[in-house]
Amino acid sequence: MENWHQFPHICENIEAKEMQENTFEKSKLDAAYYAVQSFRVRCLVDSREDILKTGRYTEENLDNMTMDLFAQELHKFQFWQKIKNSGSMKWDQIIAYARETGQAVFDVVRQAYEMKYEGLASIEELNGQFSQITATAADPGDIRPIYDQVSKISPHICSGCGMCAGICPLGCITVENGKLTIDETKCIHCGLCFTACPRSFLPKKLVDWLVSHGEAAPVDVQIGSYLEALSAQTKVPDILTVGQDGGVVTTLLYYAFQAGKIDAALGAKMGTTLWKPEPFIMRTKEDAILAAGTKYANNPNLSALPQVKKFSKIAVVGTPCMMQALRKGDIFKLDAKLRDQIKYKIGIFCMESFPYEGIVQIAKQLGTSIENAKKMNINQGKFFITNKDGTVVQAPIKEVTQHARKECHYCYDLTSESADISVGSIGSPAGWSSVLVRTPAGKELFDGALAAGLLEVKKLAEIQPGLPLLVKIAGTKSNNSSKKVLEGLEKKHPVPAYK
Amino acid sequence: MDTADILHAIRSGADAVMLVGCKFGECDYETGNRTAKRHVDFAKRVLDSIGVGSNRVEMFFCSAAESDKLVAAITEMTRRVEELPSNPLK
Repeated sequence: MENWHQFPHICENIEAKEMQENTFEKSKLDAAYYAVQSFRVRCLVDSREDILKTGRYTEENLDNMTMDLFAQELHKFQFWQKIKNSGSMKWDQIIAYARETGQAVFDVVRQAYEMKYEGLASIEELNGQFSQITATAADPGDIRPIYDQVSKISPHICSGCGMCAGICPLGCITVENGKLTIDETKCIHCGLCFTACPRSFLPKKLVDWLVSHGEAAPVDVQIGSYLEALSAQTKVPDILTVGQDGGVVTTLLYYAFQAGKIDAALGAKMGTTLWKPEPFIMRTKEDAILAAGTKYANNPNLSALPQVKKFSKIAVVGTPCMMQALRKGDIFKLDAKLRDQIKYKIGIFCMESFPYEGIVQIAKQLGTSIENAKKMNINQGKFFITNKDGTVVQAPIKEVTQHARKECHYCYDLTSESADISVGSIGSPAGWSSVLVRTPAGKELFDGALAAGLLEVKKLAEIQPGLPLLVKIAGTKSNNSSKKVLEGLEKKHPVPAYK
Repeated sequence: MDTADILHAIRSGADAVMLVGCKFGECDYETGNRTAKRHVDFAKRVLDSIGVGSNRVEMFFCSAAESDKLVAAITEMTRRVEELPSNPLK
């Protein structure tokens, strides 16, 4: 996409060129007047001291975040003025406008989508491509921003990723066993959680655009954009015995620590309660091995973001919803500093997760118990539990899916389309993991581990069942999600907006 | 009072905006002056970022008994307005 090279400067200051003092531009002042009224900006100013008291943000960090959000709103209203003056703008005019104002095309398109969500403009698409944006007659003063909906995130669609709890400047949200609660007495209604939530609204087109670097890489309808599709297995003996399938995620973290590419990684490990995972901050390659293996019970990993902030090079391992939340943070420029600190987003394949009680039930149903279970895995349509005595019990997925979180069925994403690199068992033979390398950051990490001799690798195209199965199962998940959203709409339930 | 009010004054043609409040801890509305100060600080950053310049807005604190402080504050703002180019949006 044109002007894509400007993307790395996504958090540049408001005006790159030196600004002369005492310039009074009426249109710019008007845009600033609307921008400062934006909910998320206003709340951060109003509650500045309360936020600082929690220690979640430093003064500098909070001020920069406030100015970043203000700059976004300012640019959005300036763009709106431009569209309003010319009635509507076509794609080539939008590119010209981005160039004229020194903005990345991506940022201008993001503003267009924000205006669409807020009712300031309508977007016309032609063959799935952005073709024209038209300003609606509305006065920005009359518009209730999309962010002014903090109390409306429905627990019925919550993915349990923990992003809201992680981003809340006051720390007034808790996500426990896949259920979120907001402490209304502390909430300042800044709406950051609504903006960051992967289930409130998710501009899928912008996610694809960001991951595929301006659609330079092809975007697969079912499994997203990727540079390489591979199958891999660890060569680290210690990981081979504890890894879920090929031990690839653990190996990537092991390598990243060893090579000094990260100084912390956020993932999950089993907590004090059997089979109940907890967010886990890894500091060494040995820690990475402790976190190995899939945990099927829901775990709000991202709620631990405030605790990893003190490290400068972070990898985050998580499910598709977590990757979506982090990518949304990139799109809407939430907390620029943290975005720079997160070097790698490692996504895992996920069909659905289970509440802790669900895991207990499944073990019972399979004729064993969580106390006896040594390993759980889902493969070839079956749920397996390997017992400590070596015996294996199993049941078809269909028979255990009743225990899954209903909220998870709103998700369309099997393969963590928002991640830098995605890993999962589907498509690879036993003992191997399928790997989708999506972004240059993901490629650098994978190639590094490969060059260090830590991984065995094959092309996913050369093995059975390979890519076709992955695409098929991803399609099933995404179809089910569409159905569930439609059902919800009919019943007038809150549903996620993937647009 | 919030940032939008300050910007509205400037976009309607004011050369400068001066806010006078009670000293911290002496506000009749307890924290009203602190809230105002936060918005003034933010307005200054906003005005800098859009090229208007932060010296066009200032907040002063004085109690009812401190007439000398109020006079000094008004003198300061008058001086600034005289020195700065006038707002063309009048």
